Amino acid sequence: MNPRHLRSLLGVELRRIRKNLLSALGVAGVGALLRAVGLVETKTSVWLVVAAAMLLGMAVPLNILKDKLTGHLEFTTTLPISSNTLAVAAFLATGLGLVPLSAVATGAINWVVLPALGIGSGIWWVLGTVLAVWAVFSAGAFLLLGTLVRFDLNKVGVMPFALFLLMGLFGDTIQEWIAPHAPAIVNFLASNPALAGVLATTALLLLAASPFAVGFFLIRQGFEKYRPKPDAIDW
Amino acid sequence: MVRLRKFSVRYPNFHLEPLDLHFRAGERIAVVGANGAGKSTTLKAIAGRSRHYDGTVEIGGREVRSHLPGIREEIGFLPERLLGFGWMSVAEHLKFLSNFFPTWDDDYAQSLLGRLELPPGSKVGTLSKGMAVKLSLVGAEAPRPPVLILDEPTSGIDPLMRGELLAVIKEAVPRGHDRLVLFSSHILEDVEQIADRVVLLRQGKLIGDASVADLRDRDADTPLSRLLYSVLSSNEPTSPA
Repeated sequence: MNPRHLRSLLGVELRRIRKNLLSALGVAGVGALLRAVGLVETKTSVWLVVAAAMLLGMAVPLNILKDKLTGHLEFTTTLPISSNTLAVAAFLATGLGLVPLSAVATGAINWVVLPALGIGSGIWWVLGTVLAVWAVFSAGAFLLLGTLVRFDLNKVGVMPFALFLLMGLFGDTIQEWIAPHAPAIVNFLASNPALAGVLATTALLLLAASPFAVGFFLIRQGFEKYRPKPDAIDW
Repeated sequence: MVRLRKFSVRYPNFHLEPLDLHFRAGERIAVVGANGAGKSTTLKAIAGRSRHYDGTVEIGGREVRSHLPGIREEIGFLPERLLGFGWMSVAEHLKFLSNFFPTWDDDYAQSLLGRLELPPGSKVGTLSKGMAVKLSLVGAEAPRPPVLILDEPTSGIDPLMRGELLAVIKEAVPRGHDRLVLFSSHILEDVEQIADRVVLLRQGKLIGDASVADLRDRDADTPLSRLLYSVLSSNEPTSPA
């Protein structure tokens, strides 16, 4: 992967969200100002800041979706660069766009949620929550972006319904299959704590990494297989 | 330089019959035919913009599909529609492109901009059709690629701008150059001005492949455009170049 290619693509994505950044700062500023002069409650101004950060966080995926709908994704997907480079650039840009939202959420968790639960806050808590929150938001955004880029939007609309249907059809069967074996599995793991630790760590790592891996795969495949449609909307 | 072997395409409503063609360096070849003849389909495959075909397309002995995306560095392509970000200025668009082509010649790009009177500060999204084609041409030509492919470069452009574009193409790749120019058109006067070989397609079939010199030898008194028109409108095949 050529760093020059990556820099150029990342630069484009970040330049495109400049307006969103300004809008987000504007909304957050208005929220803070209204609170300062006492026109709104703290809760309202916090929600304004959250909305502004969300606006910025979704800017990269929405810009790429817009490129897909207008047929302009053809410009970058026909450059002499691999789909991996395009996907990494989209990945990084999306991740960077989510930093403000993660910061806002971290603030809310460390100064509102944790004290309310009686859990002490500190620098490690802040660092831990910012990382965890960013990872959760990014995983969601990557999966969303991957789904939107890879699949026909008509099919994307059907996906939640299909998932719901599958869960309805097989959810009980899976539960019935697992339930009788659950005590045996728990006993086995309890008598093998080392193995249980390895399995739990592996499961957690897989759980944390899989949205990123699946998201990246879908984004890469989406760029690879992208073909502009003749009826693309030209905005 | 470019070789098509049993190249064919089959879409639900279109079928391009197998083509076997060989284009050599130094040639300026016009792919001529009416809308739906298969011109763009063929050029897109050569330009590495389409993988959906049977047979092979080779550039310098390498199959295009299996050397994507790197092989695109050697191909300049002017598509039917300008590709780019509308919010970028002309200068930014070219700067962006320059990052992806190792042979990009910035001075040459600037000279082409000046020659075509393209304002570097104009936004890409606000360019007229003619200006957009000019910008596409600069983007395709600035790396001086061994293969330059122009898909309908003069379609929908006023005669004055057409003249300018054709002049630039002729200047950029003069006869005897070691590069290959492939362009499609249904404007036969343009073909007459630029091409030294003509490939004629009709409804997905190759109906002619002849050098301009051969065509002129057949009938020196008739303008080439009229000769081409008569071939395209008759069923008589034209001998290979």
